[in-house]
Amino acid sequence: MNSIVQLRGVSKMYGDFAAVDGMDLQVAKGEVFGFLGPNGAGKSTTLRMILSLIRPTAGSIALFGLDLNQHRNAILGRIGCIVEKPDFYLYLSALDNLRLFGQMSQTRHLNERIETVLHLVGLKGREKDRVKTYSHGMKQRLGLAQALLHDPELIILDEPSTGLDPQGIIELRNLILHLKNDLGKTVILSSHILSEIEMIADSMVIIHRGKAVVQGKVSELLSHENLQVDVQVDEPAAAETALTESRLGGLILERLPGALKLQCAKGDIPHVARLLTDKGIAIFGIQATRSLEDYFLRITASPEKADIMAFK
Amino acid sequence: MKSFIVFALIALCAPGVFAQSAPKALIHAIQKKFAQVKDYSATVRMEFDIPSVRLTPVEGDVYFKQPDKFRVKTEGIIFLPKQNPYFTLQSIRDTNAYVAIFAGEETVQATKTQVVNVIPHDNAGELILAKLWIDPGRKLILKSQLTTKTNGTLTVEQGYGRFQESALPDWIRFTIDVARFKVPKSVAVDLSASKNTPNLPAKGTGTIHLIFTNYKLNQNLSDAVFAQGK
Amino acid sequence: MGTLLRIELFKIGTKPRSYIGFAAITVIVLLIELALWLDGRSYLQFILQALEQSFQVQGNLLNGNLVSFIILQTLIVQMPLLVALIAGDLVSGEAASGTIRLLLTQPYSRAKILWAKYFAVSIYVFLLIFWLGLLALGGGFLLFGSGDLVVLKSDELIILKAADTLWRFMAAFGIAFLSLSVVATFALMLSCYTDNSIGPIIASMAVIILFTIIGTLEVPLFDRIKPFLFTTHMIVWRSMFDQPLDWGAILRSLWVLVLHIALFLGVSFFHFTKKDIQN
Repeated sequence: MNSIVQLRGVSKMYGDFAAVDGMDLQVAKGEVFGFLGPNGAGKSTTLRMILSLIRPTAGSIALFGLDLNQHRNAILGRIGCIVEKPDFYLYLSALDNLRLFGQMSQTRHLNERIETVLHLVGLKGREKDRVKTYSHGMKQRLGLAQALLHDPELIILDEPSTGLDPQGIIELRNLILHLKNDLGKTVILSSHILSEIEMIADSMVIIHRGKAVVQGKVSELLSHENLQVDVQVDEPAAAETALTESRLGGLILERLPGALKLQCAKGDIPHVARLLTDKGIAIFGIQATRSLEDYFLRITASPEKADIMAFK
Repeated sequence: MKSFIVFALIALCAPGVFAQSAPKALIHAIQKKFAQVKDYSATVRMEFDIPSVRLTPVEGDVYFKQPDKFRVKTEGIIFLPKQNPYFTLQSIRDTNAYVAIFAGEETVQATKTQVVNVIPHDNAGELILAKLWIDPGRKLILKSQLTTKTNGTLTVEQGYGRFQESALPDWIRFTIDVARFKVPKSVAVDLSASKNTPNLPAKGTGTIHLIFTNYKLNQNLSDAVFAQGK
Repeated sequence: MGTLLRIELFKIGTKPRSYIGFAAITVIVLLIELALWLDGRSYLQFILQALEQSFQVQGNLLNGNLVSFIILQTLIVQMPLLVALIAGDLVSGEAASGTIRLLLTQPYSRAKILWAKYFAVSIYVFLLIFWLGLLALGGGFLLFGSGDLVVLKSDELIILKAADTLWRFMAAFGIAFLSLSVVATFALMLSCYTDNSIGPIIASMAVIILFTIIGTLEVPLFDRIKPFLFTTHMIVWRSMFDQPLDWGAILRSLWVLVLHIALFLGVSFFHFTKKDIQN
């Protein structure tokens, strides 16, 4: 894999607390990479370490094949980003802000680039307004414009859809896909919403308690071949026996009061239903969730209680 | 009060008392000598030694015109005695207006001088008492000590050279009683770090030294020259 | 560095608060000049009354030099506050507004960014002093003319020749620049440590006021610490109007000021280049 970002054993300690704990990560060139995790999981800290806003306590970070410590400025020149939220000099116009950051990032043909990115994010016509008059959505667009201004190879967007209306979210999604598909950019996107990542990311990592608990291709991780199925029955013990005696016994995860929890592929569900019905067991309902989704929902709902090992 | 002073001075000077006419004649001779100068201009250098005031020497021009017009012209700020250098001569111009008493001999500037006390009859004037050290040979006042109504005691010492025939000094040194300069820090907006300055006396004496060169006599100076200041 | 400096100057120049200092100086200088125009002679008479009992003081005492001197010693007390208003906001203001994240993800080292901020605030301080000088000397000479300078002290008067004053004013402005640079670097240092804009400004002002009070109080206990307070040495500009000049004391104070600048800058750089940006 042609890695554009590589983290090896990266940790960030605040006293005894590990905000990021031995993180290993690889982002391939030209893909949209999703950082998924509940609030406080360590997504932002990891992204900030990639952007050298936070110094890691341990581990190494390399971007474009260069060590971040040694080639910080060269690396940052090839990255565009929105970290946390798009903040600008409110007393300046959007145009002045873009000019200012364009000069700092040594953007060539700055005026033309400003025109291009303003069109791209749909802010043309409002560029002379002071940023303090902008809505959050407009600031988010301006943030994107700023991130794209110097035509970076890697774009890091930390929770970019926060505060956007549904239409804005769709436009953002399309823009990210345009960046990847048409312009060949690599995009790292963080979010605490799985569906958001699922819709546009090629690869993803789930971060929990500072650790990368799951990492891989979205198509594989969120496959329908790996579902968790709750089968609500009148007699769970009889149902368990019936399945154990059949070739489907290996699917059972656990017996619950009034239900069986199975792990199976989508195609196994009709077989299970038919077998239980044949054995005279009443089925009240079948609820299927993808394993990863289930796990993510649990750590999002109650991060303290969720056990990392439970997913593995 | 005045008669008491006269009496006291006479009593003090009694052993060597001259007839009053002798010192008056001497004074008159000096007046006459000085009267030959209708006006003059000169270059002056002024040196100051005044407690609490630091002022570097100043150069300028002086102008005088009989009977009492006097002006110093300089570029900058100067401190001058309230009385002009000829205040003594002007105060005793009228020989009937005062009593002159010989009070012995003293050496001033290595010259034996006759000391004459002058007490005006009229107490309306500024001068209360003058003590003059007169060089009888050259008929010049070498030193005078003036007690004035409003300005305390003023000592004027004069040295003569080329223009002694006209009673014009080469230098004059004024010694003046000065109250110590002191204003609250807040008024002076003085933020300088506090120094442990010793408690200086409330009063001191200051001197102003005037050195004259380039006398030009009797040029018929216009009054306009004296339009500002005296 | 040139680009960064230009950008920092642009930011300072477009911030409305940057003009508070210039406006305050303009108003105060014009007020002092107006007050002295109307009542300056009475003020001088009051100050000189002891001496005028014995002497007649001749010459233009109330001139541009004296007016400038009075303005300088009145305003230089206030100027640290105006400088802190800008310098205290340089880093913490970016942190408070969130722009520090954007700023520090640009392809420049943090040290360069901080140098640019330091130079920018130094230029601001220079312009502030230049404006003060222009208004004080320009307005003073225009309204009151030239003349020897009467340096007012609480227990002494120093009269300096008119021709001897301009270089002293220039040197005094130079020293004032150095003094205000100490304030600027102090506020900048505090600014590196916080993420809110107002804290370093208030803290800088509080420290300056506290040190000034300690420096002013005639308490033996404080005498020992006075030489170590930078505010003690900030008024050394006034020594340029002494006669004779105490070069030893002046150079010593200048060294102390330079050392303070180096110390505050050193701490600022140490912290800023290592600081985690978490807000």
